[in-house]
Amino acid sequence: MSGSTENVTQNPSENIIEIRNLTYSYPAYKEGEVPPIIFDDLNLSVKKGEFVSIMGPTGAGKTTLCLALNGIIPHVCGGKFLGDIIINGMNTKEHTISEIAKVLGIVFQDPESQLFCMTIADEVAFGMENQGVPVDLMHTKVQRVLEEVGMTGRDDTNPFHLSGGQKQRIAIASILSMEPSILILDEPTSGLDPIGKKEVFSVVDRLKRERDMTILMIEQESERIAEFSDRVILLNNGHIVADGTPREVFANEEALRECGISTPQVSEIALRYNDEYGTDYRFITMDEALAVLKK
Amino acid sequence: MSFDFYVKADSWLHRLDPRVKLVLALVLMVAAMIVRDFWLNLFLLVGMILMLASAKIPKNRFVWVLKLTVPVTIMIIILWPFFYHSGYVFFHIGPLPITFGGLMDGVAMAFRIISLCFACCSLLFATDQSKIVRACVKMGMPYKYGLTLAIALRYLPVFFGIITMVTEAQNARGLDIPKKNIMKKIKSYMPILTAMLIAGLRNSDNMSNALETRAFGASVENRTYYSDITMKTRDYIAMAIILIGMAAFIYFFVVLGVEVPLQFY
Amino acid sequence: MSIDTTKDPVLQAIGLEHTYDNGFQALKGIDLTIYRGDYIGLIGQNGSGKTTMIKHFNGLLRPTKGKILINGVDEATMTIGKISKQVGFVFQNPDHQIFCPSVSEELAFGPKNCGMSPGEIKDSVEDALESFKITEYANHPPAILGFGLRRKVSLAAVFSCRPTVFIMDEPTVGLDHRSARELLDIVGELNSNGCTIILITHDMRVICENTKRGIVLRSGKLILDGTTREVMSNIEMLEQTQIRPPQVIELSKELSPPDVREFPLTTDEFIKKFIKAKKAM
Repeated sequence: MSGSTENVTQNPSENIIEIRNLTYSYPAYKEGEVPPIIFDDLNLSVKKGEFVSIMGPTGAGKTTLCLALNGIIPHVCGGKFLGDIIINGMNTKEHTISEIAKVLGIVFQDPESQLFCMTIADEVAFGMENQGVPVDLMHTKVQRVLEEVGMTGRDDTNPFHLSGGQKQRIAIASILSMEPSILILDEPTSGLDPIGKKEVFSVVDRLKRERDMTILMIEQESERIAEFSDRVILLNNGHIVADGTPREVFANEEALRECGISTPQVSEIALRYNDEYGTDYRFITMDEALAVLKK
Repeated sequence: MSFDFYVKADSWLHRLDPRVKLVLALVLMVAAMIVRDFWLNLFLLVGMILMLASAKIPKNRFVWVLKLTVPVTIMIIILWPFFYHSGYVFFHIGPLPITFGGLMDGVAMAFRIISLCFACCSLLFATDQSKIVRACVKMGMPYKYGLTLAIALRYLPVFFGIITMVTEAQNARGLDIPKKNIMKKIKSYMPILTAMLIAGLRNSDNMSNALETRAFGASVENRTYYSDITMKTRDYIAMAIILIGMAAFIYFFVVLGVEVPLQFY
Repeated sequence: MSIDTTKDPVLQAIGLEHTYDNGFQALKGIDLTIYRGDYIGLIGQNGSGKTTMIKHFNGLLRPTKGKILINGVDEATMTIGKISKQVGFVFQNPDHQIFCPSVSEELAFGPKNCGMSPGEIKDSVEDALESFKITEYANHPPAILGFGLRRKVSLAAVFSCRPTVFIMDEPTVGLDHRSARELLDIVGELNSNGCTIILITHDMRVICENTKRGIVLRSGKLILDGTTREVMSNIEMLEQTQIRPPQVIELSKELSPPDVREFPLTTDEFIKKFIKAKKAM
């Protein structure tokens, strides 16, 4: 299964996302008021096929970043926007949101406000309808993505009657059906119960394994991040505080303290163990921790 | 009650093209509005109930519609005779005569309200809401308005869910909604409405972002439709029957002005 | 160590059952006593009956069988206004309860409904503002505050009624780690000042690091009730409910002899037990 779309222009560099010198502030509420700067000269690039997790406290600019990547900022929100964002060779300033949507899809935090159709099938088809996908192809694709998220056989169900985890899986399916090469998940499991979280993460796991996609996930669940990510970025006050593999980032005490985020308990244990024995362990999984501690 | 109007079933009414049902509902509504005659109103109402029953609509839906309409209709039946007088006088309240004609007219009025509701329901109960919207768009409504309508219908249950939650949240803070005093009741609903408005505004902001992300507004001309609707032979026949029925109805009761006498002996 | 049953019971559920109008039996006989000063973590998947049970505690639902006693008084004899004075419940979404033009009016709404005198209202509002560290926002419109502050306002607005039992539904959802920590510290302080707390959350680390007693519901039945350590150490039972305890507990189980039934709850405890203690040997 490939994530390529016909209308995508070939990207000269291998970076599918490039943010260059981004400076942004939202428009002022009142005349004369100076709104706070969200990003100040932010630079970030993501390679094709990477799985990147973004962590950071509230107000770090995580959601603003998502909205900037698909052009809602500045096209809809306005505000002061300097620098460039290049998505698969397209400068977001020069392309419409719906053009960018062909390449980049976002799944938002609240499943309720992103499901607006009467049936699951309509929901999954909505994006394709807007893009003018032929009806026959649309039917095949709807079935395919519903299978991918494990929600087949309920085409006519009203999304309202689903559980939180199921709703979020439909939200993912409705983005997948548009076959974007980049998928952004903005805190997809916040507010779900453990079963719901498990359902959503198992879909994410499957996408990572089976689809040739670039995935950007904003999450708080550090243990899941450690499990999935090729790369973790810590964001604080619009700045990148740490950027590296989960193993590097979850061992970066200083950056973790600055952002005040939670880390996997095994990573904490590694740091405390190192304090005692002067070693340099960096655990991110339980098995690694056990191997050392059992000795 | 989940506020999901559509009853999933397989019946002659469910199988009809939504456009035919839309026309049917419109004709029934117009009929309910223009017929003033008592017997004809009763006939219309009973006819509609029989029609819905034959379309496998369960009893509890009828009860639900009646529950919604009965308070209004009772008020009409009580108040109508004060303002409309004809025929046999039962008694006077002050200077106002309460008449048989007034009473029957009130009852007919009440029937009309119920008939109107059932006419809407003949469409809503037997048609998937997305198909209604599809029908509207096919009949010339711009897609944007169609989508707005669809979203409104989709969020109806969510909206009622929020009302329940907000009400409970306020009750939990000791807000007792008084049962009798209307003014007090309205006043105590204010906090609930405000909280709902705030929750709703936040929701709509998120939704517009979600719509943009799904390429809404890309190129409306080239838009394709996942589940399209097509008129079949039986739809044309049904449409013909509806139109002939309407013509006959107008001919007899509007052009010829036939009235079924109603008298109190 | 087990639950301290010597204190006064403040809330009691006796054979509590609830069947909804549509025939769904959400609670199948709950017997539970909550003591003054308890700090309870209430655990269960969505649909386990947690919310239904809580709604009985604050009078939003009435039992279809069994009864609820609040401070020994049968709840059936009390109005919701009277119950809300003693049992405060904060819903998950702050936007469903915020509607006043200013934070201090928001906080005064509950006390007014409870029939406090103007002097008492003033005191309890000030007290709540202070407890939740939002005094500087007293005159701000709550609706435009950030999410973390709105969450605090929604908690303070229930706390201002001075409830004996304070129930919170997922108070840390949507907050980042630091704000969640700050909020939980405040809640911990309320508890040490004598307020009985029931915390509903899906976050097992929050349960382990904060609560004293754990209660697990599954399909309308109470399946575990004990100290947080007892409950969280019962990995098999939690697994049946599809709940995974924090990593330290799973690690401890692997590292302990099979007969050990109580494990460390936090990283600190873990380090003390498995690293420092080993080093000292």
